[in-house]
Parts: sequence; structure tokens; C-alpha cells
Amino acid sequence: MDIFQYEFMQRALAAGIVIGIICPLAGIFLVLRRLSLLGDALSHISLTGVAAGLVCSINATLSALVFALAGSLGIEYLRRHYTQYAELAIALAMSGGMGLAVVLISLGKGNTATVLSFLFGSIVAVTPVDLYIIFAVGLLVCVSVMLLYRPLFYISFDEEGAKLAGIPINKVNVYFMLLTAVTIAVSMRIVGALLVSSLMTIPAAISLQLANSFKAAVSISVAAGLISVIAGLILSFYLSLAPGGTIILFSLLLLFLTIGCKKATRSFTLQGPSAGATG
Amino acid sequence: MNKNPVVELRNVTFAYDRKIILDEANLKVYPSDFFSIVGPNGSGKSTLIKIMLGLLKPQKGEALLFGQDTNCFNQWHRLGYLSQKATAFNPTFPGTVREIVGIHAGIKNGLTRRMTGQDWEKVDAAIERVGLSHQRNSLVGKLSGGQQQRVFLARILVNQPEILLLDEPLVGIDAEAQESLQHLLEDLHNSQKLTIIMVTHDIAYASQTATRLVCIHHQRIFEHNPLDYSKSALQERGLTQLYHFH
Repeated sequence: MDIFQYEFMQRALAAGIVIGIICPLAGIFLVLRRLSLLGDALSHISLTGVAAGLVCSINATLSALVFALAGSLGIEYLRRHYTQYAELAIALAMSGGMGLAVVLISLGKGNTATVLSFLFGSIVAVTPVDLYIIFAVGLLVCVSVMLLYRPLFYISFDEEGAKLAGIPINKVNVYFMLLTAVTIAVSMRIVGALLVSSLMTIPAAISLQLANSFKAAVSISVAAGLISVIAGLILSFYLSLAPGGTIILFSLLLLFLTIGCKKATRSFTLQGPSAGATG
Repeated sequence: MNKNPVVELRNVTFAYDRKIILDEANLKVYPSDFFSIVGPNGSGKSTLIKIMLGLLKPQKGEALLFGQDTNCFNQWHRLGYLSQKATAFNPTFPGTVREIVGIHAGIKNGLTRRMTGQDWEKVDAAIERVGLSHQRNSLVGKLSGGQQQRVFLARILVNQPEILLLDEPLVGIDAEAQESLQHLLEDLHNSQKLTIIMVTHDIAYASQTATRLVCIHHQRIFEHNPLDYSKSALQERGLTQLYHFH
């Protein structure tokens, strides 16, 4: 296939596979805890990091990582401050992050193309250094979720019960927030800051339609994420489309197909196979 | 009594902002007690159970679990708590009965520990104990309210706790499910000598089953003989309406 002749495409696909796994892996826990918008807030803050990196002439992925980590701690602090209005913390972080990003972008004159590549995602933007960072973060996220699977599951289902089971929920929450932050910071390269949170939530939405257990929900979510990223990248290459948008549109297509098939199956089961037959 | 209390409150005062809920309250629960807490709405029954668990910190006094202050208590596996809001979880949560009971099994041995075959045997035994073996692979959100209460009970039973703290476990489920849950609790108390602390509105059940009964009224805890709360005793005192007896 032509697509594998290009080194940049090999890097994009390798990075895409990691992103296709870790975004839904973190996303399923966010969705179940009704924190879907957290991804948006952290991606806006990561964009601030990109702009800061360009102004200070340092690796934009690294500076996005640092900003996302700091931002996640800030959101967790605000969430504890406004326990009854947890979404307020997300709104504050989102607007603060975007405001700072715009100011920093205006300071870093001449680098608009780089900022745009982070905003909408780009196949050619993944450098070998980015790839190492993405692999390291991917390994960290996968191992962490594997080890903390039970506490994360418990907290997602029943936070009070988890606390009484002796789970240090504050520590687990902060660690998970940091994992989400690094996942978003590294995924922005391909999917783009504006769309990265969709790659966390849409696969989770697909899995919620199909899963008959928690384990299945996690597996379906990761599978949907992987299929969307790989298919989206290949399509964007051949059709010369923006990769981020193509990945998200493909995942939305999967979601609508899932909902449609589920509805059709349900009505078929309710009416029986002979329903509608004339003879 | 020569036994040491498993739960103790010493001169506990608790207030939400300026509204005092408990004033200098004292209480001792001993092993194998079936301890019922009754009282009017808003009297502080759930608050009392949360103070016992250390989920709420009293402004004055101390709460002890197995003789240890709740602030430094860490043997949570010895307790099983069924919250009033247990069944108010997200009904679309994709967790099966086995998974939901399983998250609690052996958690005392380490948060990152993988489930072993022995853990799963305990999970299946707990599910069987509450009579839900046939539903063990069903999604919890698809079960009836009574069945969901049984799942949460199985979840706390899986680690074989010494005390069950139940906050209105009979609310929101139909009469048949209530009766079946009541029998299960009685059986757990009689056969395993479990200490049960239960907040309830069902004064008839409390008077029949509890070995000790306290009522919270005007920020104070009053202990009564459970038999004084039987239907006939309340009728004699003209208190049936207060306790919703019909």
C-alpha cells in the first residue's frame, strides 16, 4: 500500500494506534463519572502549553504536557472547592485556558501554522521525538489503568462506597486526572485540541450501547477508538482531509450505525421475524 | 456487660451550619446487637450512622469503631455500609452483578491486586447468599429495586464484615422484596451473629426484630425496650400516627 511508503505516515499510524487505545481507555471512566467535558477543558489548557512552547522555543508537545498536568491539578482543586458545582471547575478551566492560549498565540508571531496543526491535528506533525513521548505516555496510561482498574471501577460506580472500602479516593482521583491530562496533551498532535475530547467520549458512547458488562464496555470502547483512528487516518491520507476531523466523523458514523443496528435488532426481536410478512 | 462496644459515641455534638442535630449524644453498640435507629424525618438518623462511620466529623466528642477513633481507623473491611442512596446509582452503568460484588472482594489485600479464583468463589457465595445466583451475569441497572438492594448487600457481605450498617434498606422496594430482605437480615443476625445497625422507618419491623432500639428526638438519643414500640404498645399511647401505623 502506498500509505506505508511515507515515513511520516508510518509515524502517524504508530502514534494513532497508541492514541486510539489510551483516549477511550481514559474516556470510558470520564463518561461514567459524568466528566465528559473534562477532556475539552484539558485540551484548551494543553493548547495554551503549545502556544507557550512556541513563544519560549521549546518542544510544543512537552510544554503542552506540563500545562495539562498543572491544569488537571487546578481543576481537581476547584472541583473540591465547588463540590456541588463540579462542572463549574471545568468551565473556568476551559475559558481560562483558551484566553491564555489566544494571548500567547498573538505573542508568538509567525507560528500560526504550528498552532493550527495542534488545533486541528496533522499527520505530518508527528516528529520522531513526539513518537517516543507518545509511546512512553501510552505505556504509562495502559499500565496505570490495568493496575488501578478496580479502584477506578469502584469510584466510577460508587464514590462513597469506594471511600468506605478503604480506597484513597482523593489520591486515585488526582492520579487519574494527571493520566487524562497527559493523554490529551499527546493526542492533540494527531486529532487536534478541538477534537481530542471526542475521541474520549464517542467510543465510550458506542460501548454503552453494546456492553453487557464493565469489562466489555472497556474493550468495546478501545476497539471503537482504534478502528476510528486507523480508518480515519487512512481515509484522510487518500482523500486529503484533516485527520482529526476524519477520525471523529468516522467514530460518529460508527456510533450512528451502532444505534441504528440496535434499534433495528430490538424492533425485529419485539415484532418477531415473521412480522410484516403478507402471507 | 463485659463485652467491649464495637461502635461508641462519646458526648457527640454535631450541627449542619448552626442547626444542631445531635447534642452531647452517647451510645454504645455491642457485638451481636441488632440495633435499630428510629425517629421522625430530619431527626438525624442518617447523620448518626455517618458519624459512626467517620463520614461526618462531629464538632465535639468522639466516635469510636472497635475502640479506635474513626479519624485513625483503617480496618474498613470489618464494616459493611449500605447507604440510603445505594440504589440511586446511574442505572445505565454497564456493570454486572458479579462485577459489582467483585469490586469489593479482597480489596483489603491491596488495591492493585488482581482477583483470584478464591475471590470469585467468595463473590459467587455472597451472590448465592442473597438469592441472586440466577442473575449474576445481569446488568445491575436492569434489576428491580429489591434485587439491587440485594446486590449491594452481597457486595458488603463478600468480605465477611463484623458489622452491617444499613441506612433505610427497606425504602423504595415493594412489600414482597421488603419481606424477603427482612428475612435475610434476620437470618444473617441469627446464624452468623452479625452486629446489625439499621436506620428504619418501619417501627413494626424494628420492634419485632431489634434487640435494642433507639429513637432520636430533639437532638437526643433515647433508648427504649423494642417491645414498647410494638403496635399494641403504640396504640395504647396514641402514637400510631406518628409512626405511620395503619
